[in-house]
Amino acid sequence: MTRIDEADEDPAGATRHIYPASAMVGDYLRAAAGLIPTGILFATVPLGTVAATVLGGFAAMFGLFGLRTLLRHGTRVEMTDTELSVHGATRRTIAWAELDRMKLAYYSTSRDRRSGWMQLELRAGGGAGNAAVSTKVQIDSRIAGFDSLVRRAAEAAAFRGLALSDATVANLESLGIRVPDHDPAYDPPYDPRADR
Amino acid sequence: MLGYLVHRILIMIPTLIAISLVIFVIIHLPPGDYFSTYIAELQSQGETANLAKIAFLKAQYGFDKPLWQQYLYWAFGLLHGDMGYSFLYDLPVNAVVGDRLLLTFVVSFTTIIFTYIVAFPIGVYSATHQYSISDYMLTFLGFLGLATPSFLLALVLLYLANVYFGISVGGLMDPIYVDQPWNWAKVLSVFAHVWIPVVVIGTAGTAGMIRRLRANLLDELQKQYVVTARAKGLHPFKVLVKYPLRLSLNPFISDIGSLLPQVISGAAIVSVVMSLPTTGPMMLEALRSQDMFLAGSFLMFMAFLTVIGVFLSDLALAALDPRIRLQTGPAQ
Repeated sequence: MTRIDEADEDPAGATRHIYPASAMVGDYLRAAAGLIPTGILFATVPLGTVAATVLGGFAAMFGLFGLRTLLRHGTRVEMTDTELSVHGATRRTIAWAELDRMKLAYYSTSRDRRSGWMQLELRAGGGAGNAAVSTKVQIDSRIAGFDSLVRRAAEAAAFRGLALSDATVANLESLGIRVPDHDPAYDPPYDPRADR
Repeated sequence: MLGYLVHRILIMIPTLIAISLVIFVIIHLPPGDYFSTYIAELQSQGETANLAKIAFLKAQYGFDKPLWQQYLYWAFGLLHGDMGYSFLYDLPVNAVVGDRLLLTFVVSFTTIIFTYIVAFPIGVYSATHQYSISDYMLTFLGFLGLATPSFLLALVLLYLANVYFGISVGGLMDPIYVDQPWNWAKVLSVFAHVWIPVVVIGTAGTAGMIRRLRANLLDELQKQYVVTARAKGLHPFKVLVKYPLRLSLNPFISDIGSLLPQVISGAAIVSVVMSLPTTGPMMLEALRSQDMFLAGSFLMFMAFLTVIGVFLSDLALAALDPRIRLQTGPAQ
């Protein structure tokens, strides 16, 4: 699923990860496949209000997707023992010691749920009830060395004692990452007094 | 989620194009067209058709052109809101369909809401009280609902309402509002009438949904993590809501996709029986008389609702349970 040949490691132990061009071609083509027909229809066919609204919504979404693909293509992720930083249109840094939330989602459009992709979402700095000032990072599985990023994030989550969703645990296990002592009955840690 | 949305829509668009092609071909499969049927009917009655008008309509709507050009004419017409011309009613399809698409949507949407609101608590209760008297009673009612054809239930309700209450429960609004423009009183009248067709159309789907939710929840409740949670003293309600109920909801949500077309096609016969001003009766008539634009528009509307239903259920599933499934076999 991931290519690790484009993840570099420097002598200090930091690794750099980029989205390889070959992995982004599909998304560029998808954005074009959505934008070009809608553009042609807008230019050549007199559309009704409903059709224009629907097609306009599609065009905006495919445009946004193309822009996101472009930004993602220019994004570089750097991981050290203490933090993960994302260098792209903006720079965001998450210190592993401040990790508040980890979510690993798997998406597939096929009925047998194969040939899908994963998305790692990390949040830090805002505390449990203060999402507004927290830093959020989303990393797609097509980035080089995705497995090592997930593994490090899972270690940090375990160290911080974060509660992981059932879906996240299943997805981690599919990558061969064992979550220590995860049992749905223990999550969150149970205190009988809380139920009285 | 944006990536998932884009992937799904890129699948949805060719699906709709393929469906429109299939609909177009199927409508054209029987020999002849609306005009040849119409001329034959008039001739059998000893009358003559206005051939000049028929030739004009044929030329205007491209019936003298190759099939692929006719398809493109129809498909591009749909895109800019022109659903074509109904030869059966001698009016543009937009004018013929009028409020029927809206009323069909109202009846279908209300039926789905009814199905979920009724099926959810009963399914959960039935699973958590397995083999109790109430479970047996609800199971019996469920099977009864599954086994009773909707049109039969409609006939029974019509009879009971007429004989015992002296009222007619047919239609979707009071007769005085039928040809009136939309106003608040008409909306209230629709809401006052809609519950009977909703109960009639939704009963079979509700019964099926109860059975599925009960079975899914029972599967989850018998797993070891539930036993562990109970053994550790977790409150039974918390045990139920925290994991088993959430997991058993996945098939419940994925049913949205199949429920929409079921409700609409199931409503066609009920609409005939209960004189509902929905698309069902008109679609049957359009298909019977090969009124191509009218039938095609109705079928495309149904296909569109189906594709949208599947799309929404896939989105809900992706948001609720974005997990990889490694086992072989069909994914739920």
